[in-house]
Amino acid sequence: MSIMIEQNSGLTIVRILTDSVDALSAKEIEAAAGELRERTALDFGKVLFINSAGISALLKLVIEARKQGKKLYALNVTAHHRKVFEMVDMLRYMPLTTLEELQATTT
Amino acid sequence: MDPATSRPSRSRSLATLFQRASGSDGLPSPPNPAHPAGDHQKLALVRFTALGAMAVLLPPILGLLGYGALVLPIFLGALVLLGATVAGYTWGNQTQDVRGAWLFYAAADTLVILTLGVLLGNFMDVFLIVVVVELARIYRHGKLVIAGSIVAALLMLGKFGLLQLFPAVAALGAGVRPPTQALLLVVSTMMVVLICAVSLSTFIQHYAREIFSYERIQAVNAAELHVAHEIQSSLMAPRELESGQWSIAAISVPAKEVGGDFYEYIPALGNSIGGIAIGDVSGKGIPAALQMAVVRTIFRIEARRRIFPAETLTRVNQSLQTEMQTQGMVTLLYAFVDPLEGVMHYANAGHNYPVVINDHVEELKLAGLPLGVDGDTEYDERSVPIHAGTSVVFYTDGVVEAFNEQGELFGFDRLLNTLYECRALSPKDLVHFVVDQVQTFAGSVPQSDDITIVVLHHGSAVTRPAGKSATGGTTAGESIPLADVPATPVALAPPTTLWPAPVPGSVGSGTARAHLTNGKGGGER
Repeated sequence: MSIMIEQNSGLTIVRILTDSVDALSAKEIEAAAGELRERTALDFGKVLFINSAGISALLKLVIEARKQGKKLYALNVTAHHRKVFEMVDMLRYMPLTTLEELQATTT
Repeated sequence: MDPATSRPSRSRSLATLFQRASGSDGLPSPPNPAHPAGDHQKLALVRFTALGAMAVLLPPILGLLGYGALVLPIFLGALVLLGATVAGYTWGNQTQDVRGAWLFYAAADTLVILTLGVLLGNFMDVFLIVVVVELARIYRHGKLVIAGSIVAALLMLGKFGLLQLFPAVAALGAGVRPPTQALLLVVSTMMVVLICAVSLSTFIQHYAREIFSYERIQAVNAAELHVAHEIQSSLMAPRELESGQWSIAAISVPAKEVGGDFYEYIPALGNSIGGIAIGDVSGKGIPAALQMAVVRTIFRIEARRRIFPAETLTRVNQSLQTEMQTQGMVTLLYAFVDPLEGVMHYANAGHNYPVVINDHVEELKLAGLPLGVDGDTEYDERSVPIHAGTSVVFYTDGVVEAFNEQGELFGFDRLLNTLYECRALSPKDLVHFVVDQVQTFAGSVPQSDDITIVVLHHGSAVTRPAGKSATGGTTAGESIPLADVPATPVALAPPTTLWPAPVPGSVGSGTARAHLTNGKGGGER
């Protein structure tokens, strides 16, 4: 299992448990689209590497979330992946934030 | 990233095949040998011969030696094994599964030895465990090792209870004298060794044939991949181009024989340098190469219909959505150079930011969704002056995502430092310098992704003598289709004609854009 989904007072947190988001783990992340709530945060804290298949899956997830009118946030993204997310325009749909900020705005 | 795979060595193939034989690696079945039924019949024939000889010869020999108590158990054991061989042969013939039949024989052999062990002598106990575990180990099946050990332990407990409950059986065991038990041990050991040896040799022979078949297929695949690599290389744009004050150098190093990276030049009027594109299809190997071929074709068509990079990317993205149900994505950066104004217009579909090098290095930060993600995307476009002495470096993510032995990424900062370090090099030397730096950084870590670098350089004004190029390529004024230009350095004709007027109604704006056209007669059709 590459992801773990937690419900946290109105906020869904999708924790990515693998250190590499690739074609295999991407399928599970894509499948998480069905679990998206009004506000969902993807936690990349354990992720060291994301390949192009992983980026593709994440982009499709954020596009799907946008079409459903749901908000996605990214937590604990490394500086390298922050730049990658920026280049593929992912940050427009999934801004970076911290869990504290999210919880503060939730309550 | 996937590790780059090289052609497998023989030892790797053997290991893979035996892993496959164990069925524990989750890999698909190895290719079927030419005659699986022949191997299966051979295995059964060897067993029939060995067990038949045992059933016929051992009882009288034991009787003659005075070990009459052993005659019946040995004879019955041989009969049971012959029966198992018949059953295994029938089953294997139906399924054409030699490995399954071999496992069936081995299970039957183990059962008979266990039964003999239950009935006869304490010497058999330790021997039993060794046989069960060793057979299971040979079969390389972890669950069988555990199950065999449990069964052996249970049978030993059962044997103790059996001897307590049934005095007649206990008497049979007790009636066998220690010397007879020793002989029984020797005979049984020989029996097991014989059966296992012939079965195992047939099994190995069977899979050796598969290994050779597998390696032959690997060799054919490698040859086909090499041809694919040659075809893909021949379709790539030339590695070097010169046109007046402008020059381009490129390098592409796929992680496998074929890759998903590509670069492309779109000629402008007078065959001068026009559009430069660099792209990366998600994935590697043949699937990425096939997808890349489709994307490149669509891009070529769309780029020749219009000039503005943003429009071109928008149309390519729409075409990709309708022409192919892409499962991945494609990053693509398209830049169009106006050589007279010294301006580069560019749009970006999720590709790495290009880097401008002059007395410093600077990224051209323009983000955009990759192609194939959302068909409704419209791309932004920007322009940047490219003064004489300036280079622009385009690259794919294989550069910045190369890992070293410590698990560190090459990364964006290291790339920018490297580019600053080599800012005085010629485009050709620059691309090789960067690739060398990445490969030195990676050390023994296999290349995990395709690496492509394209450098556009605006040099100082140099007047070349008509009829001779600096590189010995073509003469000035000749028209050369860019796609047909060989990979050796080629000097193209400098733009002697002003760019035609912009197409009425085109989206472009700004002074520099007024000079742009696609060189093919106008805007979108």
